[in-house]
Amino acid sequence: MNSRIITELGFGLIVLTAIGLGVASHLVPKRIPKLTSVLAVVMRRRSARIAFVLAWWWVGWHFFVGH
Amino acid sequence: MALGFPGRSSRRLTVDLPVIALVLAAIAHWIRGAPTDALIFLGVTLLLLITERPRADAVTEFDEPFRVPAAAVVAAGLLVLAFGRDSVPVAVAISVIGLVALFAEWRDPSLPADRPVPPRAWVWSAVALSWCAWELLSFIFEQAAGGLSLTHPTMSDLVDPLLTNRIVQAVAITGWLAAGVAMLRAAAAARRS
Repeated sequence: MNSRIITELGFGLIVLTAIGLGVASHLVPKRIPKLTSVLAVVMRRRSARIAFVLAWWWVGWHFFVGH
Repeated sequence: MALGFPGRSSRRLTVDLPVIALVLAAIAHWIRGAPTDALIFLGVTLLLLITERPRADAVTEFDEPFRVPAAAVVAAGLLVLAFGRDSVPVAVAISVIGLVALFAEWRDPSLPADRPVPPRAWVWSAVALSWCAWELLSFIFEQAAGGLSLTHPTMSDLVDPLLTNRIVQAVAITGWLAAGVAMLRAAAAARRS
């Protein structure tokens, strides 16, 4: 197994875990909180809101502008 | 309960984790050879520090939240479909989206951390931290190997080839914008409730 496959498997595992948690949070919301409900609490602070907005915006900027 | 992990102190931290994260992100952008991105992150961090300094006349009222019509999300997709990424119209659109989102979130004041973090919120923190750690590890290995993205690709190296098709680009930007609107809408609704 070469390093590229290991790297891809790592990213794949993380993405699948996130999708799994997203599905689980809708099926059993009492056991797994929805991501939006977690963000809603975390984003009460302005600095957290700005950090999340900048991180989200940067993803769009990175992939769609300046190649 | 910092980051939602169980057993962590609920006392307020003396350092602001989001500010630390923004500074680290700026440094990371500088190291990876993206000085513009680094300056954007650094500039926003400085503005944030100025805005968040303690003031006696701190505003505690909310303005009406921005309403983003679904048509705007679809329009972004159509714009990319028409012009493709790396075009001036798309660059302008993404810049405007970012500025509007930052302005909308900057208007609302910080609220006291008096709401409990939902039980097991740490699972989401764990996923996010895992992604950051794996991305960082891949980047370090990539640089150590002389920048060979074939052997140690970062997430960008893996996703970028998928975005060569303009239809995929349109779907991706629609998803990106919809995710951002959903995140901001949930947060705005919760702090007004």
